[in-house]
Amino acid sequence: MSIKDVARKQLEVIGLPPATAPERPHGLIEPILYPFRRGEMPEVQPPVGFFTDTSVCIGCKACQVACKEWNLLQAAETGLSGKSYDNTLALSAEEWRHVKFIELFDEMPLPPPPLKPTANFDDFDIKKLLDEPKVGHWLMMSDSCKHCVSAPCQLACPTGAIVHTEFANVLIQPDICNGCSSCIASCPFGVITRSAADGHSYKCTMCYDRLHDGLEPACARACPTWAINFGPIDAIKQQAEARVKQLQDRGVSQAYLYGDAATDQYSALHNFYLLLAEPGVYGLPDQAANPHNHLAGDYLRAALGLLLALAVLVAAFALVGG
Amino acid sequence: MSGLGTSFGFGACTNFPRDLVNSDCILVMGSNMAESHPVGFLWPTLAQQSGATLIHVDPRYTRTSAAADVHVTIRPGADLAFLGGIVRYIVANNRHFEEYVVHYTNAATILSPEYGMDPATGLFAGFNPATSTYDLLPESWDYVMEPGPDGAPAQPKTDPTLQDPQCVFQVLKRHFDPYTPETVANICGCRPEDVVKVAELLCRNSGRERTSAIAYSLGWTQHGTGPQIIRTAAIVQLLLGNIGRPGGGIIALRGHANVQGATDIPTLFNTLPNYLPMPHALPAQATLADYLANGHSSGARRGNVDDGLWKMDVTRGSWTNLPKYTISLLKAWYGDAATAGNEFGYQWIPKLDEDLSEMSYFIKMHRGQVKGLFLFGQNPAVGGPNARLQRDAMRKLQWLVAVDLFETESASVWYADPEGPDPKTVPTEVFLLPAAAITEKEGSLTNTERLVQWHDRAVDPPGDCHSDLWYVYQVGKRLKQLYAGSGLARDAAIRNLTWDYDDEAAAQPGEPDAEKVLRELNGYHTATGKHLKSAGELAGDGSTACGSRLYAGIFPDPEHNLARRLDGAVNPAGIFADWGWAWPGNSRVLYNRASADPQGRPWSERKKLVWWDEAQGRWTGDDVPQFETTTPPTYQPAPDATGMAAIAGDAPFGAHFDGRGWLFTPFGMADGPLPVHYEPLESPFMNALGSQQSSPLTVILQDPLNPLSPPGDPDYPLVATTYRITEHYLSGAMSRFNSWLVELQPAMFVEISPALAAARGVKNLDWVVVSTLRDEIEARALVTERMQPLTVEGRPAHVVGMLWGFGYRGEAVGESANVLSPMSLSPDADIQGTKSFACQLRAGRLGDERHVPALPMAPLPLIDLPVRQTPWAGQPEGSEQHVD
Amino acid sequence: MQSVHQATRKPTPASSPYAGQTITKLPNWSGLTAWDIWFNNLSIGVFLVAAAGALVAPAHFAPLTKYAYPLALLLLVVDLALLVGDLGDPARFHHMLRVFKPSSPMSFGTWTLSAYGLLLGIASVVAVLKWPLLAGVQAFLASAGLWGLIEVLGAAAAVLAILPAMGGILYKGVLFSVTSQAGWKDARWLGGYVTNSAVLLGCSVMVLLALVFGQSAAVAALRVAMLALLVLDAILLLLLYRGVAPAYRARYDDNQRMFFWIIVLAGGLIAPFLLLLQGTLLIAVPPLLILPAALVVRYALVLLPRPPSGK
Repeated sequence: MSIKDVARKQLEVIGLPPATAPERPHGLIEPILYPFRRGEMPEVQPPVGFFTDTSVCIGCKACQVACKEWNLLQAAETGLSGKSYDNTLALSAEEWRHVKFIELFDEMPLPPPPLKPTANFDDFDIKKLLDEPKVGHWLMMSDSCKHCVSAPCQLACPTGAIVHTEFANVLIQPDICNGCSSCIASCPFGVITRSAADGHSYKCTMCYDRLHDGLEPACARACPTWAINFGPIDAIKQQAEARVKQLQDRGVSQAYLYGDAATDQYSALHNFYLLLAEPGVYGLPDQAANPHNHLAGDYLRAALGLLLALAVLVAAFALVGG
Repeated sequence: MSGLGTSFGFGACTNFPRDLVNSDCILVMGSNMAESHPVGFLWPTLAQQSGATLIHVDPRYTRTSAAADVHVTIRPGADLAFLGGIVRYIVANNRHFEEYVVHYTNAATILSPEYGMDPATGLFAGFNPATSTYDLLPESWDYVMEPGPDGAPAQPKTDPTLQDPQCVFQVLKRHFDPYTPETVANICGCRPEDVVKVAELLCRNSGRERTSAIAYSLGWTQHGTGPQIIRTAAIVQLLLGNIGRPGGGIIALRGHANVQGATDIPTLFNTLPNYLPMPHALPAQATLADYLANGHSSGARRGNVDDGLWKMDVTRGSWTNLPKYTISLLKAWYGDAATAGNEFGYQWIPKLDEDLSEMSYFIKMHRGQVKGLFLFGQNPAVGGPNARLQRDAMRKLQWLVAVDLFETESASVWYADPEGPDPKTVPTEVFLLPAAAITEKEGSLTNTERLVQWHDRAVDPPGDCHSDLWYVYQVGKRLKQLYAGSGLARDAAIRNLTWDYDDEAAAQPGEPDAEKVLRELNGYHTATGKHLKSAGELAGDGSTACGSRLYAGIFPDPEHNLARRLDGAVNPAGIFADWGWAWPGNSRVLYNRASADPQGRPWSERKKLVWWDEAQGRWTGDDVPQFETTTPPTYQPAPDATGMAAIAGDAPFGAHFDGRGWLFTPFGMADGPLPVHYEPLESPFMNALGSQQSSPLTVILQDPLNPLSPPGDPDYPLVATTYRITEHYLSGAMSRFNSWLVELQPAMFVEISPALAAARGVKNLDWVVVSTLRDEIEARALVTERMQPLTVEGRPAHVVGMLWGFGYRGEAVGESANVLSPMSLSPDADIQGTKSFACQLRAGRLGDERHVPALPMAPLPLIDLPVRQTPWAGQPEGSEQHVD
Repeated sequence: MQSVHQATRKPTPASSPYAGQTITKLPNWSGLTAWDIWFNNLSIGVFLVAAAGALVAPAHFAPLTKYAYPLALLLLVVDLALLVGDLGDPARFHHMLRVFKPSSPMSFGTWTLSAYGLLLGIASVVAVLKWPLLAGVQAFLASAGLWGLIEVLGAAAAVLAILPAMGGILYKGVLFSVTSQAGWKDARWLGGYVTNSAVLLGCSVMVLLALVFGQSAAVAALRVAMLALLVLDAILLLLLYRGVAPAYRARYDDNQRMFFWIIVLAGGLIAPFLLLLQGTLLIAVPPLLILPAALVVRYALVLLPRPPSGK
C-alpha cells in the first residue's frame, strides 16, 4: 500500500467525502479541450489581504510550516546556511513563505575591569539609563507573494492561468499553467519559481481554498504573535496606520509601511508590511517598478524600428529593383 | 518548583501566562520565551503594545531579546547574583511595597539568635563539613516562636516596624548587601548600570498601581543553584508586592504541554500524588499515624536522615488536611481493601530509603543494579545530562521498553549509538511499543497555568499503536493477574490495587476510559459513589476516595467534566473562567487574596482582582478567590485555632502555617533559608562572593563516566550552555523525523562570538570540536554577534552555546550536546546543572571513527493528495479541477 | 563611571545578509532562447523581405518567393519547437490560446506567430507547388482548373501573413524588456533593435538565396537595403546599449566585453558595411558575418540577468 492509499483510507475513516472533482483529462482529445472550458464567474467579494507587522515577528516560522502543511508542499533539502536562522534562503515553488533574519549589531565594547564595590546609587544617571536605546537589532520578516493590486505576473501570463480572484488576491491556477516563466521574469519581488517536479509555476495562493470556507489563510492562523494580520483591506490598513503611529509615538521613528499605498511606479500591495529599516535591508526593492509601465513605449519603439527598416527596404527595392 | 513551593506554598506557576497582558513590566530571565513558548509569547507582545516594558536577561541575544525593550547579557549560571543585585537595590533604596511586605510576608518575623551567615565563606551557621549538610545547628533557621496560652501552638514573634536586627527584613538586607552593582557586574559580566536599570524598571512598575511579572523556565532550573535562583526571584516579587496580583507573579514556563500534569499526578519519586510528602523508611514514619503527625515538607535533608526530617507544621494552614488527603488517596488506590483497621493500606506503599531521582537511578543502572526501564515518550539518550553515561547505563539493563512514536535514540541505543559497542555485546532486550499520537487518544493536559483541558480522540490510532494510558492499564492488568494467587505480604499492594477503568463503550475490550481515571482523581464518596464537588468534601475517615486532591471539583458529577469546557467568554481581568478548569478550585491566580489590601479593598482600581464584599459577606471578584470564601479580612484566629481557621483574614499564603509569603524559608530548602550565589559545579571562575565555590549540598554523582573538571581548570576555560530552538522540539525525537521541520533547521550547530571565533581560527560554518572532561562533539559553528564575550573577574568569559536537541536518529542527525554535560543533583529539586558547565573549543573535526554515521532516515514521502487545486466554483476562467 | 553604550548603528542594506543579492528570480529560459530569437528573426525577416520584394519589385523577387516562403516556414518550425521545448509543460502549449491578452507580450506573440504560421503554411504549400521539381503536379492542377485558385490563395495568404509577421517580431524584444530582470528591464530599445535587425537578417538570407538562384538584380537591391539597414542597426544598437550598459558591465568581464565588441562591431557591422560599400564582389561574405554576429548579440542579451560566471 502506498502512502497515498494509506492516506485515502484515513480520509475514509474520518468521513471526509471523496474528491468530487472530475478526473484529470486523459487521452488525446480531453487535454486539448479542457483548458477552453469556462465556469461561472464567482461573485466579487470584499478584497482581503495581509498586513504583516514585522515589529512583533519572533521568527518562529510557524507561518512557513503551516503553509507547507496546508498546501502539502514538498520539503526542501536544505543545509546550514550560516545566514543567521534562515536556511530556506528564498521563496520558490516549494516555499511560499520564507522568514528572513537580519542581525545588526554594534561593536560591543567589553565592560571595563571591575571597580571597588560601591553602595552609592547616586553614581548612576537613571534617566539616561532608562532612555538609552537597546543595543543590537535582530529583524525578522515573513516574506511571501505581495498580491499586487496590479500584478506584473498577472499581466504577463499568456495562458490566463494567473488571475485576480474574487477576493482580489493573485492566484496561479495550477491546471492551466504551462510553465512559460513569463511571470517569473516579471515579478520584481522574486516570488515565483517553476517547480522542477511538474514544470509549473507556483506561489502563495492566499489559501484561496480556505477563503472559500470563510477561513483565514493558514499562515495568519498559525502566527502566534499576530504579526500576520489578515482581513478586509480597509480594516487592516487602518490597523497598520494605527500601529505605525503607536510605534512612532514611542520613539521608534524608523517604523513605516511598505506597499500599503500605490506609488507612481507600482500599485499597492495586498500583502503589505510594517518595516523597521530600509527595504533593501530586508531584500525588498527600494522602489518597485511595474515593468508594464513600459509596455506601450517599448512596442512603439519596436514598431519604429520595424517601420524604418521596412521603409528602407521598400525604398531600396523601388529604387534599384523597380 | 521547590523554590516556589517553599516561598509561597504551591510549587507551581502563580499566574496564568495570558495575565502578562496586565503586566506593566515583564522580566524574562532563565527563559527564552519567544523561542520555546512562541504561542504564549503573544501575551508579552500585547503587553508591550499597551506600554509594558519587556526585559530579557540572558547569556545570548535571542528571539526574545529581539522583541524585548531591554536586553542584558549575563554569564550562564550567574543569575542568582544578578537577582541578588536587584534585591539589594530594592531594600537599599526602600523601594519595597511596605504595606504588602509587612502584612503578607514574613519580613517582620524574628529569627533564631543562632541564625547566621558568613559572607566570607558563603555558608550559613551550622554547616557540618563532614556530612556536607547543615545539621550542626538544626534549629538555627527557625523562627522565634512565642508560646500561646494553654498549650496552643506558638505564634512567630514579629516586629512590624521591620527594625529588629534579627527580623527577616534586616537579615535580608544584610544578606544581600555584598551584591553591589559592581560586584554583580563582575560576576555576571554585565555592566553595573544593567543591574540598576533592570532593578529600577521593576521598582517603578510595582506597587499599588502597577505590577511586574517574572517569567522563567529551564534557564533557571537547570543549574546547581536552580531552586535558589527561583527563591531569589520570589524574594524580589514578594518585596515588590507582585505575588497574587494581576499582571504580577512568577510565571514558571513549563517545557511541555503536560509537565504540570505529569508532576501533579506524580512522576516525582519523592512525592505522593499532588505533592504529598513521600513516606520515608524511618521509625519516625513507621505508621500512618506517625506519618500524619510528623509530616515533612518535600525538602528533606540528605545524609544522615535519621533525625534530619523537618517537621512541617500540620496544625495550621491547609496542611492540616494532610490526613484527609492521604487517606482519600489510599482509598482511591486500594478501595475497599483499605480500612481503618489496616491503616488504609499505608504499609503497602513503598517507603523511600534513598535518593531515587532519575539521575541517581541512572547511576545505579550504570552499575548494573537496575533490571528494567520503561520510557514513555522520554529520550534520555539525548535529553539526559551526561548523555553518554545515560546511553551506557541503558545498555546495562536487562530490558528496556520504549513507548514512542519513532525509534528514538534511546530505543535504538543498543545498536545505533556511534560511540556504542558492538550490538552483539549488548545484553539489553529492547521493546519498542508504538504510541498513539495526541490526536489519537483522549485525556487531559495540565499546562503551565495549572489549567486542565480535555481533548477528545479525533481518529483511532493506526495499527498496533496505543495510548500511554492503554499500555499502563494493560501492564497493570497483567501484573494483577500474575500476582492474583500470591499470598505474600509484599504483593498485597498489587493485589489490592483498584484497577478497573474499562471503557464499556469501546469497540475493543481492554480500552481504558480516561474519564473513569478522571473520576478517581476528582474523588468520590466511597459509600455512594457520588463525585466530590470540591476538596472541602474530603474526609480522613475513609468515606472519600481521591486520587488527586488538587483536582477535586474538576468532575463534580458524571455529566460535567469541567476540563471539557470551551466557553470563550473572558472577564475584565482577562480570565476565561469557564474554559477548562484550573486547580485549585479554578483559581487562576494563586494567592490572589494578596490582590486586596489587609482591609479587603483592592490595592487600586487598576489592579483589582478579588476583594471583600461586605454586603454579601464573602470574597468576590474577577477570579475565584484562592482563600476561605467567607473569612472576613479582619478575622484574627483564636490562639488555639487549627487548620484553615488558624489563618488570618489578611494572610494570603494559606499553605504556610503563618499564612505568609516567605522571604526567609525556615524549612524546605536544604542548602539555605536565603539564596546565596555559588558558582556552577564546573566553572572557569572562582566564586567572588565567598570561599565556598559551589553549593555545598549539590550531590555529585560518582561514576567513571562522570568526571568533573575542577573550578578554574585552564583546560576548560569556556562556559558552555545548552538550549532549545523553536524549529525543533526538545530532544528532536518528534521534530527531526519531520521533513518540514528538518528543512528549517537541518543540522546541529554551536553559536560562538566573533571574538572567540577569531581566537580559535574559526570562520562561520567551520567545523569545531567542543570538549569537556566527559566527551567531545563536533558541530558546525555559527559565528554570530548575538554571542558576546563578557568580562568576568577581570578576564574574558566566552560562552559556547549549543543546541541540545540533536541525536543519531531521524532525518537530520547530529551530535548531542548533552554528552558533554555533567551529572549532578541540585539540592531540593534534583535537577541537572546542564545550563552552565566548563568546556573547550577548537577548530577541526573528530577522527573518522567518531563521525556520526549517515543513519539519517530518508524523508517519509508526503501524502500526495490533490489539494493544490482551487475549488471549482472558484475559478473565474477555468472550470474544472482535476485530481491525479 | 563607565560609558553608556553608543546608539546602535542604523541598519543599512550593506550590512544585511540579503544585501547585494539579486531579488528577482531568473525565468527558466535557457541559453537556447538566443537561438529562438535568432530563428524567429530569420523566419520573419526572410518572409517580410521576400513579401516586400514580391510586392514592390516582383520581377526580381517573385521567383525567389517559392523558396523563401518554405524556408521561412522551416525556420519558424524550428523556432516554435524551441519555444515549446522551453515551456515547463510542453504538452500544455496550447493553453496559450485560451486567452488573447495584449498586456502579455508572450500572449501577443503566441497569437501573431500562430496566425503567421498558419498563413505562411498555406503560402508555403503553394510555393512548394511552384518548384520545378513538382512541375508535374502543377500541370495536373492546372488541367483540373484549380491552379489559378491555388495561386490566388497563396498570394492572399502571403499578403495576409504580413501583419501577423510584423506582430511576430514586435513582441520578441518587448518580451524581454517588459520584465523585472537586471539589464532587460532597462533595455528600452531592445524591441526597436530586434525588429530592425530581423529585417537585416532577412536581407542577409535573401542575398544568399538570390545568389543561389541567380537573381542578380535582387542582389543589387538587397545590397542597397543592407547598407542602410546596417546604419540603422548601429544606431539602434547604440541606443540599446545606453540602457543596458551598467548591467552589461557588471555581468561581463573585460575579456568577454572585448570579445563582444570585436564580433559585433567589427564583424557584424563595420566589416560587412565596408564590403557592401565596394560593390557586389564577395557579396556572400557580409551575410555570413552578419548572421553569426546577430546570434552573439542575442546571446549577450539573453544571458544578461544571470550572475557572472564563477559566482
